Amino acid sequence: MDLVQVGIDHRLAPLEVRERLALATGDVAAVARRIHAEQWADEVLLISTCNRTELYVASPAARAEDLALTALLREVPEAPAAETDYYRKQRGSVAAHYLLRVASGLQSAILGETEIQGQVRAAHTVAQEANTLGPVLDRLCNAALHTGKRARTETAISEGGVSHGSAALQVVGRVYGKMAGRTVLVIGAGMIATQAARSLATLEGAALRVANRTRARAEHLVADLGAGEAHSLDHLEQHVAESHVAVFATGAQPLPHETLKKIVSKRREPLLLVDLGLPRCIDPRARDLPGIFLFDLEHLEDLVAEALASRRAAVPDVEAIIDEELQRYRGWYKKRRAAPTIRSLHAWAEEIRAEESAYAGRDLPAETQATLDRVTKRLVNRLLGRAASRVARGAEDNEANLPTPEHLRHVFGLDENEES
Amino acid sequence: MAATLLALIVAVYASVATAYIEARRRREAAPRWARIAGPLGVVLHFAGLSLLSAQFGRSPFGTTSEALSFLAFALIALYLVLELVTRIASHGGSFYWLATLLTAVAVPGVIENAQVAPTDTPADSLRTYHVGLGLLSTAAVLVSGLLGAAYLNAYRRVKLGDIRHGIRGFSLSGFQRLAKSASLLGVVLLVPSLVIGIELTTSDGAPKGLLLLTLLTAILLALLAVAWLIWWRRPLRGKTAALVNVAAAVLVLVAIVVVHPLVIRGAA
Repeated sequence: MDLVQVGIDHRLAPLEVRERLALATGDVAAVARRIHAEQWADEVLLISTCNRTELYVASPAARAEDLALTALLREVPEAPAAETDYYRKQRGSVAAHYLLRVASGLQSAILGETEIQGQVRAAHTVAQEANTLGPVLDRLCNAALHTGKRARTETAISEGGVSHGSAALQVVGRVYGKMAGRTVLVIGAGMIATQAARSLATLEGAALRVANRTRARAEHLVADLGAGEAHSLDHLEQHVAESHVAVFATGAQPLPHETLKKIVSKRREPLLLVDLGLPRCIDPRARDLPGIFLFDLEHLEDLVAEALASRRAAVPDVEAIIDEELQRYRGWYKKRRAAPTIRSLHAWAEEIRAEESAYAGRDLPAETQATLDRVTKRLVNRLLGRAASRVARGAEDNEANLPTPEHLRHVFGLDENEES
Repeated sequence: MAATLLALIVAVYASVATAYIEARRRREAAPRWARIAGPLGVVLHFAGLSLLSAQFGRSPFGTTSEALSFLAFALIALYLVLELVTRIASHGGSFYWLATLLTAVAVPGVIENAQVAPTDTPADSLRTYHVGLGLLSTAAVLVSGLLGAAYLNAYRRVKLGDIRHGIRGFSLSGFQRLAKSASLLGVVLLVPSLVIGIELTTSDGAPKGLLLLTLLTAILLALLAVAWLIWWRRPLRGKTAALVNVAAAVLVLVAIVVVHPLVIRGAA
């Protein structure tokens, strides 16, 4: 039985192709179950996110990659043909290595992003609940999740913000630490403002307000976020005065410098202004006001560049972790490969032992027969134990001087025995 | 026994300081063992000082070395109180290192004094309290000054918009809370110190220079009270409050280096 992976991701296929293959969250389990029911695959795992649709199977079939891709395309009729260059097909260790890279964020569109870890975990849970998982994929998923966790805690692969929104979050952290009980105001409802609002909505305990010239658009954004209040720009001065963080992402300069001075003179606590506008929304002189901290696009881009550089620098460390975990997984997988041979060896030996023991003990009293049985069992187990453990170790470590399961089968003629 | 304990404590503080600094470098929270070993070290330090006091039948800060060791104890104990009150545990490294340094400098003197036989000179309890409270308030002023300086550095960086190479745990708001609590602790400790100082200054045979020391205590009290009020009522003016904290710490260093020897010489 071998491990196989087929699918598409953002590196091979553009968005319009990926969206044709994307599966709704509720459909993943049903698709996995249907592919599993086709019988050619013993185990099935399906990962479907905005950046990838990937199918992992454990199957004894010789052309499992083709079967997997055909099965996947059968489920998504609008997907491009299998002959196109959009699909990735991998097998064995390469496929396992790939999933470990995916969970670590090395295959993500944004290097080191953390969402993928949750998406792999969710896919694992779905497959478990759909009963399409077996030992090979279950172990691989756990290895991938463990690798992802190690990569994120032991290296800087996920540190720092790599978008303006997450950089703004970083700035908020530097000024306020925790935001519980504080207010964040986002001015604007365009693309940049939406991105910033999405990041800021994750601040635990903070109240989010969105103010926009067209109130309806602010309401739409708030509804989309599922949190916050929507306002128009009519009482902007008051909203800014009541906020701890104000993120400006509008085309115009909605707050004159004099108004800002007036706001500051009445404040008790510092005010963090994040200007995401181009041209800038806030007069740079605001930086000279006491208790005002102003960050514009240039500052945030410095942070993004720093975070990206730090993440790129962490890639070799993550790859070392992946290699370590992959080695462990392969060791387990190979050891598992030796198990049927060891079982056959024990079965063959037990058959002989039982025959000989029955023959030798046929005229003996029952008590002596039991002793003979016990002694011969122990003898066989002790004689085979060392050979079995060396084969298991040989399979796990791939050491040339240790016997492989094939050696064992050959030496003891296990194949002939099984055939007979 | 007391001297041995006070010497051993250096290793405890040094290892905890290293753990805190390493955790901060790795952008992680301080390890659990360090957060347990730190307070345990303070308890051991206190036990050492108490043993020293019992052994000699006097205060545990009778000599300059002992006073330094007591100051280190006070410094780290106050920091732990702040950590407990504010629940900010990111800055222990610097404080544990300072305590390590002070305790290490004190060790040779403490060991040397341990060889000397105890004297039968009766202890002046009021003076003992005055010195003890003085050392505790000195530690509080130093802690608030260090936190004030850290706030000013963070303020400068945030104001310039340069927060690259950030370290996890650093936030202006965090420094503000720590410095505010440190200022309040300083006020609480300086009030009784000032009252006893006035009492001693007005008593017969008060050493020369004590008046100056009392005056300095009053100024320190005023400075810390002002700093605390600003931190509390006008956090927007945090920079001013931090500057006042730093000024108080500088003043306390001047008192240690210049005024304290004058008082000792006056008493002699």
